[in-house]
Amino acid sequence: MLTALLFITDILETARELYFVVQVMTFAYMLFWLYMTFRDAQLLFGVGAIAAGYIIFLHGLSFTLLAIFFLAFVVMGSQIQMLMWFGLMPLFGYQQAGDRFVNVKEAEEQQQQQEAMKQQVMQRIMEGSASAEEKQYFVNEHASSGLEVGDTDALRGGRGRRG
Amino acid sequence: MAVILFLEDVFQILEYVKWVILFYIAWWYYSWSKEHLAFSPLLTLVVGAILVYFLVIEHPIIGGLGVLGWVLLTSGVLYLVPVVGSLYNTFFGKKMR
Repeated sequence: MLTALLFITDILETARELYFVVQVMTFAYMLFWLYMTFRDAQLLFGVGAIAAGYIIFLHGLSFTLLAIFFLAFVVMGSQIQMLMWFGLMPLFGYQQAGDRFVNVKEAEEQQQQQEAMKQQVMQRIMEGSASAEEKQYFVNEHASSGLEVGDTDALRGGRGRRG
Repeated sequence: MAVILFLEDVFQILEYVKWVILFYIAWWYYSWSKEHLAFSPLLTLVVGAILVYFLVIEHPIIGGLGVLGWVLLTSGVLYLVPVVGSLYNTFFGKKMR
């Protein structure tokens, strides 16, 4: 029990030290920016440095979170987007398809189902037992080929082309 | 016996490599400090010392991961990640119908 507690204190200690390091780095960034901004006005640089130190070391958490958000979404945003679109989602079986992600397996199954249904309807049309709805479905499927409802009867004679 | 001697040599070399890596990490953090606080040599030294103390002496693994992560992110090599998947799909994946 005691060793477990010591372990947790170790982790907390490490976290605290790393947090301090992050604060120092953030402060360094701020100082650099302040120096570049107020290079010709040393008084402003001094006041700004004190203000930055106060904000970063006394209100560190919110400021650090802000810096992290900025880094993550502004500086690294395109990297994250690339990683999600082309790295992470394909790993889970999704592909980027313009305005959405498409599950590759589901899309393939759907395509196979549609293919099977088309075959069935085609079969019925050939046999002459297709309903008007099924004929309409077939025509819709082949809308680009200029097929019309009346033409489905021609299929029975074997003159229709397979679409 | 000879195998053990051989292993000792390997460990010795690994030890040297470890020190080289540690020196590289320390140099990287110090030059970070130099780049960002070029206007003040004293601040450069102070911040550099803090970074090297905490990220190399105290927590060398975390410091090393920091360097590695930053180099990975800024090098643009992550843009090559999708290439792996697309190459795999092109040559070994299912044929598209």
